[in-house]
Amino acid sequence: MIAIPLYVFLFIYFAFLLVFAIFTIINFGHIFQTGGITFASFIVTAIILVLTAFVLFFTWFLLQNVNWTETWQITNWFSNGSNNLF
Amino acid sequence: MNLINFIHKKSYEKIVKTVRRDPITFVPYIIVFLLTMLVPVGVLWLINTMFPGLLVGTISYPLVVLFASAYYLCLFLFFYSYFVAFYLDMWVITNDRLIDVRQISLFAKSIAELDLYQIQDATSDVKGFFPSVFNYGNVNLQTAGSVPKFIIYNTPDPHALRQLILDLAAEDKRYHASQKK
Repeated sequence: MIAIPLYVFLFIYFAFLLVFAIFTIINFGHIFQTGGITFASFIVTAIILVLTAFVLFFTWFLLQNVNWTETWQITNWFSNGSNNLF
Repeated sequence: MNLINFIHKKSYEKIVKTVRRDPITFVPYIIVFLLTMLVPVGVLWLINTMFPGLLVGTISYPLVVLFASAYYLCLFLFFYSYFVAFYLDMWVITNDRLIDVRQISLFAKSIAELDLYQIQDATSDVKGFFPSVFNYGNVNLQTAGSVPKFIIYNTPDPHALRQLILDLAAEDKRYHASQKK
């Protein structure tokens, strides 16, 4: 039997957020380095940041009451009704 | 840092024009971005119809939300990276040089430059329905330098740009000829 705690997925998500932040900063660095901070690049950057904030807020809002210590128990992946996914 | 520092402008050099791709050529990316933003809505509708328990399960619900969140963040990151690659592809035309700055990807950039007096021939072309309607196209420059061909892609009003480059090249040739005397 395999038991995966839910917080493992949360940590994987946090690791993804870190990669996302690094890549976004690199992108912005390219714009800054090339002297490309203009109205167009500012607007696109602002839209991306607002959308990102919106997604992060909704993720937090939808998951605030989740018990992260719950475990996903997989006894036999291929047999029907053998795990507690639902 | 501004553009002048970035291209290491010479003391007598002045930037005549900075050319980027026509904004209309970015519209397909925006359409794809908007369509891919709608994909999770369709997937959620399918899940709700076929596996209604997946959206209320104590384990499955947080996993679905985390996955959807990561999907949207990936989408934003790809879109922003495409925008940066599109926006930082530019050609800086000075009274002395033409500098081609190409942001190939997030970790790849190339900068090439060409002395205007080396330009031998310039052609501009507008091909296709959308380029004709929105007046954008390519300017091809034949040179005598180490880079035999320079192409300015999808620039707005390519015929006017070709004329501007030819005028500047003629002026630069006169300047270099007078320096040799």
